[in-house]
Amino acid sequence: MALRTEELMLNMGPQHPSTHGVLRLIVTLDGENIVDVQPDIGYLHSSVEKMMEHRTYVQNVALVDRGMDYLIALNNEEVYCLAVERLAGIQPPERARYIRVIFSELNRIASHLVWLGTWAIDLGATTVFLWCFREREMILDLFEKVTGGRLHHVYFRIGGVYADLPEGWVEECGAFLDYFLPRVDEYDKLLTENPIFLARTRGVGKISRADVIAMGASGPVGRASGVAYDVRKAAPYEVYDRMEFEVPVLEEGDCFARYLVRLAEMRQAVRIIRQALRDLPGGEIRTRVPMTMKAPRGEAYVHTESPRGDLGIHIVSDGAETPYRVKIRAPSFSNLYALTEMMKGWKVADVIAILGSIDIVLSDVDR
Amino acid sequence: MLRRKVTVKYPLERLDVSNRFHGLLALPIDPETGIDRCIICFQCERICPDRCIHIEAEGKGKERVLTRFDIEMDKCCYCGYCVEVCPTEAIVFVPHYEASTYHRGRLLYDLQDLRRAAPKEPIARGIVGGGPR
Amino acid sequence: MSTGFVAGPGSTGGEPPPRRSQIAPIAEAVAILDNIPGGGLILTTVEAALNWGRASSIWPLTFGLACCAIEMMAAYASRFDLDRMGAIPRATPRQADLIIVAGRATIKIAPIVRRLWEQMAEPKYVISMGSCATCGGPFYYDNYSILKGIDQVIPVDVYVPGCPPRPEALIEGILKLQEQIKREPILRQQAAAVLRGA
Ligand code: SF4
Ligand code: SF4
Ligand code: SF4
Repeated sequence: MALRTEELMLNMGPQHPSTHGVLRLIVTLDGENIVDVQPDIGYLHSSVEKMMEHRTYVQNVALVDRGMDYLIALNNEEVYCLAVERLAGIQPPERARYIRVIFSELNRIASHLVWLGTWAIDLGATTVFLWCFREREMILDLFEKVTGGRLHHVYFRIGGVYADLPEGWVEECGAFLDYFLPRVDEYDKLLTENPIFLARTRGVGKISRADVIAMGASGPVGRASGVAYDVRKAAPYEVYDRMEFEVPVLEEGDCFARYLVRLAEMRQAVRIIRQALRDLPGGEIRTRVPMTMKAPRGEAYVHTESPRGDLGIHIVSDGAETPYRVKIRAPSFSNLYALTEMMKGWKVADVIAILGSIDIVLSDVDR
Repeated sequence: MLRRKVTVKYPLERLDVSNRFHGLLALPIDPETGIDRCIICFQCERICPDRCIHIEAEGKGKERVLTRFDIEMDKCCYCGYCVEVCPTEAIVFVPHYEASTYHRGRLLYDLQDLRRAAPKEPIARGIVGGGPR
Repeated sequence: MSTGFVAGPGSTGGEPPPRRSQIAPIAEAVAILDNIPGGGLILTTVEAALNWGRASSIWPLTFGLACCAIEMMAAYASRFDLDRMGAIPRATPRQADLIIVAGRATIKIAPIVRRLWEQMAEPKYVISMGSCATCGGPFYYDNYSILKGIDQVIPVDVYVPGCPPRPEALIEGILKLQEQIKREPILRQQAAAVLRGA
């Protein structure tokens, strides 16, 4: 008869240095093996969907920055503005649409840099953290010159963007991209060939393509498991249909594949920004939308490819100044769903590696 | 490896914040008239998503004067809507961010505080370039 | 899981009783020194030296709640390098002197923040970073889940405004806290605590 041990329940979080926020994981262990993982969420529930019903359409831009995923404030603004524009039939000018693409791609890089830095520090590679934040500060400087904010911008407006790019910003951004691309190779050199890193990530936390689809996981998590789905290609919004870029897809479905997909995404983001900077048309940046705009009765759903996956927003309007109901489809929430499946059978030491690799932001999970 | 120094020795050195930076809010004094430019239109109070501006005024017509202009800096989210809607650029962002206090009450900026917070020269308007109001 | 603001098992109460055997001689020495002429001066000098040491080695707890935590991380990272201030992040409250409440606290997390604070050893300090931790900020109105200010559960020493505050603003808050620590009559406070307990 095989030797049996009692199952042990282990509580991780809500205050734990590697949960990246306030998440509680109830891990059931059999010896060192993980039998089950139950995430306990809601520690950062900020009731943003309810609050948006009490703010006007214009004011809500300030709220989606903070209430949704805070690392990707500009992507949140983008999806919200797109939804209201579809609802009210507003067409932003061409230049604004290019600027939006530039900024949401820059934000994608910034978000992936935070992910890479914090995940690497969880796995014991402090250098990568310092390097990633060094480059991220440069992106934040670029943001600050245009939007005035470092993390929260309130830059996109319904029907365009707030202010035009200042003199010389385009060149500065181009120079940053030239500087940044070799840095991605440096991260590559630091991590991809590193035997410790490989031992901790390759083959760890596998999830199959069928499971990813069943759980609704999207973004890099899905693409690392062979789901070739990217909203920018599948349902192009803004001017993505004019951009040339590849969607990196891998089949392995482990932590290492998710890492590779995100690295490749950073390179693709650079490529998209370069094209957008090159093609940036002149002209207006904003169509006239009154500060007290009312959306006609109806509803609209828009989804975009955020750095974490398929980010959607559904707005129902009853013709008033404020939305009647807002529902946010948060990619982190669905990705967290897949966590249990990924972790089963692995050792307790792999918990942080797997948790870090799906790149959740708790304010996106809880909203 | 490092071609340039990355660390800013903060209290000794400072970064140049951009002139659009959303720092603290201020009511600058117009050098011509000697008072602020606010025309008491309540637009900023109405647009503020955090409802942290409180304005009261006395008198009628040209005589109207501000009696209260409070901004709860602890509630403000530095979104810049008030700066955007103000028709006279009476309320502006100043590129100044060091305002930590020991008491929360000190973060309620009243009219005097806001006027004092304004730099003499130059004023960062936050907005550069077009866009309808 | 307890949901009230009650100290759970294993956590010390609000104000841990000083261990008499260790502190009592200090208290007596303080009392004697304070009463002889010139003794107060010696005491103040000793206090200044102790406080200088304490102020230059504030160890914060790595505890992030929301967006402000990202700026806190940026403050620890290469550009602002909070370690220059002697602030070395600790992962456990038992080793920390300072808790930076970075971000909005929900009603669900409030008891946990309280417990973390109670687990920290005296003397302990709290910095409330950002609008949300200070008073609820953007989430003040029409909201059912966010705590309207972290000072409802733990006493705050320094408030840093901003949404999010720049890393420099956070560093300025820590400098403010250092000033406060340098002014504290730490020995006399301890002596008074012992005398109260006696
Ligand atoms: S910046 Fe935004 S939150 Fe702050 S006072 Fe102005 S409108 Fe209100
Ligand atoms: S919008 Fe400008 S002019 Fe009008 S009340 Fe506010 S500060 Fe005064
Ligand atoms: S103060 Fe602003 S940045 Fe900080 S947690 Fe609140 S919403 Fe986020």
